Amino acid sequence: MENKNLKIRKTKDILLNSMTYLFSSFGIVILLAIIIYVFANGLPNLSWDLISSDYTSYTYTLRSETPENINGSLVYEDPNIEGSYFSSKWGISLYDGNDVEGNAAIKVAHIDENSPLNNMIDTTSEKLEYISLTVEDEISIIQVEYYSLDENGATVTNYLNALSRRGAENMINVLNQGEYISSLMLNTHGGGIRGSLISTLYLILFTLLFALPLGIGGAIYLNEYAPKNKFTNILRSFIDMIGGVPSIIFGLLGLTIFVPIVSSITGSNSGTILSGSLTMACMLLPTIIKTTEESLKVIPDSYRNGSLALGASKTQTIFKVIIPNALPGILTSVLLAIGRIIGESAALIFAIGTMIMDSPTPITQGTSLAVHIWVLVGGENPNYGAASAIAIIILLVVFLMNILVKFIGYRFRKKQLGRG
Amino acid sequence: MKKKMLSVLVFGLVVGAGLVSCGGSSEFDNTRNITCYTRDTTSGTRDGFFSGIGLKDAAENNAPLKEGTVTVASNGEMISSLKNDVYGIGYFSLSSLATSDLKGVTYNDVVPSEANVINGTYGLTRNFNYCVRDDFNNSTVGQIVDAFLAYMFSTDGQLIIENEGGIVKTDATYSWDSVKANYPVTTQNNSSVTVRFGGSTSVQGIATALTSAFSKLCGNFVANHNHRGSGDAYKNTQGDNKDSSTGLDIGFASREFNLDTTEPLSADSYGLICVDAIVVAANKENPIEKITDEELVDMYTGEVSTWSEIL
Repeated sequence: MENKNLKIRKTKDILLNSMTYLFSSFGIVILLAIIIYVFANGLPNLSWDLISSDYTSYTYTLRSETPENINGSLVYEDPNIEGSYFSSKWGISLYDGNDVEGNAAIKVAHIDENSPLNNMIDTTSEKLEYISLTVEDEISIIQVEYYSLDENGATVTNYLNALSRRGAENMINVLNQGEYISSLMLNTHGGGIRGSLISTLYLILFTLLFALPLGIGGAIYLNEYAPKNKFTNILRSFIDMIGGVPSIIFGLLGLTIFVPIVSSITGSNSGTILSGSLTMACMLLPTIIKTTEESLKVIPDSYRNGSLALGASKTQTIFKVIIPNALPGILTSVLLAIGRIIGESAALIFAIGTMIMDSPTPITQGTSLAVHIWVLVGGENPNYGAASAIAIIILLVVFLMNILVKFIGYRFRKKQLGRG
Repeated sequence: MKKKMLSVLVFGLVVGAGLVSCGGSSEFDNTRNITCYTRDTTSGTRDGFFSGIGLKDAAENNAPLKEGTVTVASNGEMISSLKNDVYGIGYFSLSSLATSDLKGVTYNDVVPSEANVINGTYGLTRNFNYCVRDDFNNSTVGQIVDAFLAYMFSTDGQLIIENEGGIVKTDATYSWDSVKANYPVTTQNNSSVTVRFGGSTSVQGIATALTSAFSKLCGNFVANHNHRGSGDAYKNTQGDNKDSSTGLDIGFASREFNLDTTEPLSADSYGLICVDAIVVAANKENPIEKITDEELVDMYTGEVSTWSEIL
C-alpha cells in the first residue's frame, strides 16, 4: 500500500517538475521565435542604403539625345547576366529587383560604357544637364518614340510605354522598338530610415535632458531628505503608479497638454519632437527615480557620516560624495530610459504624429524607429520585410543596452566587494 | 537523471506536437463557418464594395452585417487576415492582388482583371476622386496645386497613375512638356513651399508617385502626405478642419463625394482621377473560384453561414 502511494507521489513529482522545465523554456522559445522571424524577414532588407538614405523618393524625368545625335551603328555586347534582359540596341541590361523597402522595382544590371543612356538629358532641370544611368538604378516608366510613314509618305510619330509593373522583359522589348527615349523616369532610392534615426536621437537627447534632472532630483529627495512618514510613502506609491499607466494615456496627455504648449511657443501647428520628448520624460520619471534611488540606498551610511564628520554640509555630502558613488545606478537608469525611448510607439503616435521626415528638427514632426515600423505595417500595402529590418536595429540596440546595464552592475559590485 | 531525461522528453514531445498542429495542412472543411472581413465605416473601399454588391445600407453602418463580421482598419490588415484564415472572405483594391498572395474570386462570372475593368464587364469598381481647397492662404501653394492637377491629367501623369495600378479610362490629350509654359510657378525655386496631400489611403500610392515625380519638375516643393481615409478629403480641404493642424491642400477620396448632403464641395474644385476595381479575395487554400453579388450579400448578412452552402 505504502509502495503504491510512493509511486503515485513520484509520478506527481515528475509531472510537476517537467511542468517547471516546460514553462521556463517557454520564454526561450518565444525569444527565439521573435529573433528567427525578424532576422529571416529583415536581414535581406538590411543594408547601409536602408540606414543612410531618405524615405522620400524623387523621380527624375530624363530623355535621350535626339536620334540624329546617337550613333545608331553601334552594337553592344551582351554581358549575359543571369536573370536580366539585355537590349543590344541601347546597351543596357535590366532585371526585376526590389527597392530599399522590398517592393518590386526594375533595376539596371549592366550598362555599356558607350550606351546613349550614359548621357540622358534631365528635363526636370532648367539648364542642360546630363545624368548617366548606373548599375542598381531604379526605372519606373519608359516612353519611347518610333517613326513610321503614313500613306502620304509623311513621318508619323508613335509612342510606346513600358511600366515597371509589367516587368523588365517588357521594358527591354519596348526599348528595342524605340528610336528615341522621350521620357525615362529614374527613381532615387527612397524608403530609407535616416530621418527616423535622427528623430530618434533627438528624442533621446531631449527626453533625457528633461527627465534626468527631474528624476535624479526626485530620487535624492526621496532617499536623502524625505522624512520617513506617511506622506513620503504615498509619494512613493504615486510614482509607482505613474509607471503602471499605459503609454497610450501618456500619448493623450502629450496631445492635449504638451502639443499646444510647444506649438504656442514655436509656432508649429502639429506635434513636434519636443512635445514628444516632454511626454516621454513624464513616462520615464518612475524608471529613473526608482533605479537612481536603489543605487542611493546601497551607498553605506558610513560614507555620509564620514563626510559630515569631516565638516561637509549635507548639500556638499550629496553632490560630492553620494552622487559620484551612485553614478553606475544613474547610468543604468539612462540606459534603461534609452531602451524605452527607442521602443516606444503608442505615446509618440499621439504626441508627435506619424509623418516620416527626412530632415527632422526638434520643432518639426519626426518618427521614432518604432513609429516608423507602425507606419510601414499600417499602410495600404504593409511592408513586413522593411519593418523587420528596422526591428533588427531596435532589437540590437535594446540588447546592447541590456548587456551594458548588466556589465555596469557587475563592475560596480566587483568594485564594492574589493573595497569591503 | 532519469527524471530529467523524462522531463526533457515530455517537453520535446509537447513542442513537437505544437509545431505539427501549427504547420500541418488540413483538408478544407466545408462545414466550417464563413468568416466575413470588412473595412471600417470610413473606408472608401467599403463604400465601393457594399454599394457594388447591392448592400448600400452597410456602406457606413455595421447594423446590416451579421454578428461576428471582422472589421479591419486597412488594406494591409485585410490581406494579412485573409492569409491567416482559410475560411475567411474579404475585399480590397485590385492593384494589391498581385503582391498579396491571395486568390481573386471571379465575380458575377467575370474574372477580376484590368482588361475586364477597362472593357466594362467587371462590375465591382469605384472611382478615385480628388478635391482641392477653394481658398489658398498662400498663393504659391495654389499655383502649385493648379500645376499639379495639369500634370496629373497629362500623358506623363496618367502613365504614373497606370503604373501604380489605377485604371485610366480616357486618354490624356496633352503632354506635360506642351503645357508647362502655362504654369510659371514651375520655373521658380519652391523648395521652401510645403503642399499638403491627404485623404484616402487607397490613393496614397498614386499620390506619392505623382508628387515624387512632379516635385522635381516644379522647383522641388515639399509634398507632405498624411493619408488617413476618404472622410478627410472634404473635411480637411473645405470642411470644418480645413484650418486645423490636419488641413490639406489636396484631398483624395476612393468613393464619390456626397455633394448634396454632407460634402458640398464648391464648383470646379473636385474631379475624377481614375477607376479602381475591388476584388473579392480568399485564402489560396480555399476552393472557392466564383461568387455572385447575391451570394456575397447572403454571406455578409448571415443568410448563409457555412461554406458548404456556397461551394
